[in-house]
Amino acid sequence: MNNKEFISELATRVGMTAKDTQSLANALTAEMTAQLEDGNSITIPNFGTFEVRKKLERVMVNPATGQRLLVPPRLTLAFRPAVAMKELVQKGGENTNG
Amino acid sequence: MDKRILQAELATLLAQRADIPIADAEQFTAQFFAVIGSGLLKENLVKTRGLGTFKIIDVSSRSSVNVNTGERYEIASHAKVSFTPEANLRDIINRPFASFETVLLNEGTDIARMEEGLTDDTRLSEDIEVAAAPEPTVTPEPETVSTDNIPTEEPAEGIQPEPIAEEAAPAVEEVTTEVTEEAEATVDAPAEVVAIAEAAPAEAEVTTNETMANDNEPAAPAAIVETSEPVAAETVTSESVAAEGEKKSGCMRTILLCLAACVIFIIGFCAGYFMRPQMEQPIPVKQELETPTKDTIAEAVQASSKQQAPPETLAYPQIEEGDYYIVGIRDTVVAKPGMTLLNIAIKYYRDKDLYIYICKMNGIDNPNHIQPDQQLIIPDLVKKEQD
Repeated sequence: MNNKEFISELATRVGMTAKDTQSLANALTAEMTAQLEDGNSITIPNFGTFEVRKKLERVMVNPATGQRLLVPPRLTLAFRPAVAMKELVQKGGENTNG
Repeated sequence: MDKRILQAELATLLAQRADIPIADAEQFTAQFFAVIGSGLLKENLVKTRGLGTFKIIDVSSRSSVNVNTGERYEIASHAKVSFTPEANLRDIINRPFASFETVLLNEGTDIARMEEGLTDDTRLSEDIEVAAAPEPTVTPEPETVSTDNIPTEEPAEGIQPEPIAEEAAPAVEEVTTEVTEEAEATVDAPAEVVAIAEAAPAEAEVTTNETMANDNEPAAPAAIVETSEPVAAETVTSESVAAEGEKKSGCMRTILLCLAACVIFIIGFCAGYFMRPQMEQPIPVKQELETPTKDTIAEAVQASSKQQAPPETLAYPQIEEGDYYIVGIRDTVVAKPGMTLLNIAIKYYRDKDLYIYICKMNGIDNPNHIQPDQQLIIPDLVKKEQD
């Protein structure tokens, strides 16, 4: 499901045009981005949690050349699915596999 | 910071941002994530613009060990949700650390010792020689007032420092007799002349200076103590010779007077050289010509006694409590977005703390705020000698 399909699906559910839905979705992601940038985490029940994690700097070795590289510390966005979501995925996975 | 935002809060914030009723925002937010969830279950992949890609990936079964009992057991194959943020979002999140780059560590680099390794300078001695070289080009000498018929060969010889060293030694005795006539220049400050002589690198001048001091004020034995022994012997004899020398021929007199003038001129030049950094005049000789030599000598002594720093450093702004002198310009950098002074300091000095020297050199008050396309001068640093 790409963004276009996602937006059209969402549009039918909320009863808006695709264009309005896209602009509202952009506003929502912008708000989420702003909150995450401030270091806040966002928890959506039955879906999961978005949070910013700190990664420490580390020394990496290029196995091909043996060069040692110092990788700087960075902040990453992580998503942790909720338990309900995990179970759903598990069942869904079994269904699709079986 | 570090707040937990729940769906209801997010909906409220969205309502404010998009200027829609809160109820609509709540419904939209709920549906937004519901669609992602259902789409995931249906197609195992959902891409949303502005957020990223959600995927369900299969994890194959693997064996593991119970750390308490040591028993091996099998972790069954399962599916898990993976989320990859968009590049744009990833960069926004990482913005506080965006300026860091992956650095290649050289062979055998010890990370703990990255701070050392700035070069020490040998430039001081070179610069003094360079400064001494232009001396012959300056012909107007303030001391040559009394002499009328100067042989043209004599100044040519006398101007160069090394010939003086040789000629001065035999001629010292008679030079001193001339000096008594010109004593006004030096009589008032014999101690200062000695101080200059200590600072000045030329040894020949040292001997002449001290004999002058001796002649002008015999009650200053300290000057003799500091001279080497043969010179001291000469100075003892010089007084007797001096009496005879005054009665000798006038032509010898003029030659030696010229020599003395040269010597005094060189002393004055050295004084001017040491004085230069404080006065911030690029050409010390002109300064000297304008002001009486007495004053320049006195000032120079004060300057040289106050500041032990390498003189050429004083042309640049300095940080007194710092460990380094700014002695030149190493490079100029045009600031680009994402650059920080810390990064530049690490790049050039391998020490982020030295950014203060870049600030000082460029007159930056707030090191956290530099403009894109700003020209930054990277100073050349030399470690201060510890006392």
